[in-house]
Amino acid sequence: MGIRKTHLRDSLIGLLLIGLVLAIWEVVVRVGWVSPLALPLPTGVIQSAAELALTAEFWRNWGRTLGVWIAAFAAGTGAGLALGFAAGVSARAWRMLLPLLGYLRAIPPIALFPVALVAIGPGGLSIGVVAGLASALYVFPGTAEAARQSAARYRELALILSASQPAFLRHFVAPGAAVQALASSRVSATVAFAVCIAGEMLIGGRSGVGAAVLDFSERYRLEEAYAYILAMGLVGLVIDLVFARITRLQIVESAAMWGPEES
Amino acid sequence: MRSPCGRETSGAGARCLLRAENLSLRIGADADARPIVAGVDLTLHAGEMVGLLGPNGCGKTSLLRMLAGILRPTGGAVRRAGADVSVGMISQHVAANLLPWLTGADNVALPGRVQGRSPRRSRREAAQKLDTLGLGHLADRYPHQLSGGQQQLLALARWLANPPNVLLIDEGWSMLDFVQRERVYGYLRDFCAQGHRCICLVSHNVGELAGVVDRGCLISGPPATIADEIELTQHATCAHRVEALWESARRIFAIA
Repeated sequence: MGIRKTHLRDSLIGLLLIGLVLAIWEVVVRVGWVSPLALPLPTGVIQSAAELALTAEFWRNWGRTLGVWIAAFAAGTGAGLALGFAAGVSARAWRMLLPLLGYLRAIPPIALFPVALVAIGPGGLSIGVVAGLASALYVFPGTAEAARQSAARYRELALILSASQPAFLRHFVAPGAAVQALASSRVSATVAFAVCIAGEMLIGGRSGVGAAVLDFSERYRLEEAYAYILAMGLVGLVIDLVFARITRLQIVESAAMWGPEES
Repeated sequence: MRSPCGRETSGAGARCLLRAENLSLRIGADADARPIVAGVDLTLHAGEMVGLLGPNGCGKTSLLRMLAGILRPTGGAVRRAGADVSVGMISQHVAANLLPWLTGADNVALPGRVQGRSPRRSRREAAQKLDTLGLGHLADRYPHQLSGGQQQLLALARWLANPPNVLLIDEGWSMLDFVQRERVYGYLRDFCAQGHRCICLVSHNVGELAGVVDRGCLISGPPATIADEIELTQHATCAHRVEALWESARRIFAIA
């Protein structure tokens, strides 16, 4: 069997596993092991999701959440990558930044929501600032460490080739650290998404996906709440697949550095 | 006219390209500083090939790295005969010479890319150079797809495609077979014959070194010092050159 067919088969098994989980969920609720008041039937949830998908509010909520998430992720990850590469190539920047960023990273991002609420006010800007900060703090250490290793490995060659500092960053450090930086960005994307949802529940007012889940739960319309949660899983999966694809392309581009040698 | 090396640059004498003056290197804090290189004077002239021969760990690589400008000496100085004198180096660590995410042609083109030349032009020139060296089949392959010897050939091809004035080679062909070695010696002789270029190389093979270099420097240490310097061009045959180098090596390293 070819590699492509094997991959297709594995992907189909993965989808079947999701179907299996839904089937078990359906059975568990139908036979009464779990009360439908606590856990609605998946068929009901899917039906609600289909109905919600026809409403403008559903797409407005998703548009708002994804808009805040994309802005926060782009700004936070951009800052984290820039700081990471700076700390990676400069021992001085590393010494100066590490204690501060290590300290900030130890603070759970959700704890910053009350502070953001007081400083900025409720709404998307506060959520975006906290999510962006979380994103930057998660992408920084992995990028900095990868850049440090890359700089140490290739500094000698760069010196011999009389590479300027920008050329050293562009041709040696950045490509050498790219795979690890992308892996860190992947984690930071997930963290930023989670922080956005939590923020919408805590200080987001009445719009956004997080606020919608909270609203439906409070009104005991669990099927709609679960429909949003299932959609969150789907969006998270798409984000993950996009990053997996970019990382894979990057690894192929990087010639899968540690492949077996041909003699 | 005198070069910064203090040697005549016109007339019968070859132009001095690089000169190490009383070069020293110590590693560690003042009290516990360990001497690695001590008082080395070495001059490299245009058109010549100089070989460094010495036991493992005597400080040859550190000396070469100081000549390349990678290590800063703690004493003495390395002087180039002008700001336009460029230095290239091939490391003894095969993986350190090539970037794993670049193809063979891109690795050869790297000096041009680093200096801001266009990627397409640099790559085309590199591919042409690989073709002329008979290494065209390595152009589209990544380092991990090559044997150690092929990686060493690519590292050499980079400097043949972008020739510096001074090329320092630290055991640059330890993984090459005897056929490739002969070809490489030919490339190196052509390189030195281009004028205003010279090579300083480290090897552990006395016979090979005597056959290819014009001058042999026997390094003892640590700390590395030049224990003897032998002009090999005065010997008529290769056998005489080998014998002259061996005689000096036997005396200095007390080989029975």
